Amino acid sequence: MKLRAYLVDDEPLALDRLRRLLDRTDRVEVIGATTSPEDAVAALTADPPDVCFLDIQMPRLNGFEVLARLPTQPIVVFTTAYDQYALKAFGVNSVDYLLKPIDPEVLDRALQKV
Amino acid sequence: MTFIVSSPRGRWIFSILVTNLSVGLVLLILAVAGQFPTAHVFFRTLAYTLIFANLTGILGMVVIGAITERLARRQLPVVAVSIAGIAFIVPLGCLAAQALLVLFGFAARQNFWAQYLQTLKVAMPLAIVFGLGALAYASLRGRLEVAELRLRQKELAEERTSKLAAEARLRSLESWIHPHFLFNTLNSISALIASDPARAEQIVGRLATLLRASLDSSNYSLIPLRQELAMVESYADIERVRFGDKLRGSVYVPADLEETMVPPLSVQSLVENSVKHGITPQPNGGEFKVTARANDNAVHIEVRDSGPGFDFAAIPGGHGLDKLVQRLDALYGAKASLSVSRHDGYSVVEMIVPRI
Repeated sequence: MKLRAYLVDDEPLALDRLRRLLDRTDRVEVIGATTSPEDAVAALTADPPDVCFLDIQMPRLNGFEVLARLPTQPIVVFTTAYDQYALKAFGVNSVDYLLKPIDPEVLDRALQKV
Repeated sequence: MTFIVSSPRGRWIFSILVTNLSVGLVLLILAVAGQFPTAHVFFRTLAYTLIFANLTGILGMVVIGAITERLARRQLPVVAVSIAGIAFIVPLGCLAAQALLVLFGFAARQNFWAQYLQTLKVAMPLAIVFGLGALAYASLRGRLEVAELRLRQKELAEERTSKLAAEARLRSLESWIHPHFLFNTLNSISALIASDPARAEQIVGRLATLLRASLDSSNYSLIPLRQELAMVESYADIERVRFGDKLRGSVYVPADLEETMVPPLSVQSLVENSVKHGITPQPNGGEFKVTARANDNAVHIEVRDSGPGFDFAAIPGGHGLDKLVQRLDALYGAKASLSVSRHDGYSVVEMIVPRI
């Protein structure tokens, strides 16, 4: 059975690449994706996925603020361009922390953890 | 002799050899000059003098040498102090040598003062020759060491300056090409390689242009506005890949102002500020406009965006705009300025630089 994943990143190209990398693994079903953090809060509340790939630095609401607005905490894999948030990320319900550009092998290891 | 005198032990051997050979030579000259009535007197004086010289001369030389080095570093009257030292050490050393000779039965007690004066007569010129030799040697050595120390300090200072310059260049790169921007751009390129290889190639070129400009920014304090606008185009192109239609922009600069000299990455940092804080945080994005006009002595460069605007006084230290203000101040003083205002629904940052 495939993992149900939801993707959040404010950059459309970053979402496209992550979706392509996940499709290639054949272990994940992407149930939704958005560039808007507000839309992400609504979608994740309405239909919690098995795992959420969440960008940290986004306008208006960052990744941590998105999580703070959810009634239940999903399993999270953070994606970010720079590792200044690593310590904070491990303080919440995250299983991994992926640095962009994401390495397919690193993504594979993250999925195993999930 | 270099190999001998290059070590402390070698210097001792060298000093003893020179002292004893010199004593023999001086006494030979005195003998030729008829100073010794018999061979017995000559050999007795030779024995006394060698004992004396080895007891006091070498020790005196070492002491004077050691003192001289310290004096040379403190820049005290070395010659005066050394002569005073010789005048003190020689009579005292002769007295000690004579006392030892009497004590061990080599000399008669009743001739003590007569022999003492005879020894002193030979020892004093010897001591002066050796003392001055030691003084010259030690003084040269001291000066050489001081010169070496200064050279090493200079080398260390140059090394430190060079290191600081390298660090400053790296800091400059980090401050202009933010890590987030760099890695997000690399991520965009990764995405484009599969979907639009030609565009990926183009963005690599744009990124290279920006990186090169960042590295060069520490080498040139001013560049033509034409080059600066090329940086703006490269930056905007990269951000357009990331944000798509959310980001729109235009540049209008009259051709006669394109050679105006401006600080590198100044207009780029104003545009970057607009994109990051004014346009991309808006759900529907927005636009920026770069324009320039001139009056008699100054060029006014404006960057406006459709964002909500910001309070210039609230900008934290180390922010791109804060750094730009500092750079303008360092380059032009009161002749340049940076101001923020709001016109017709646009947030406007105006940079005024002298027309060069």
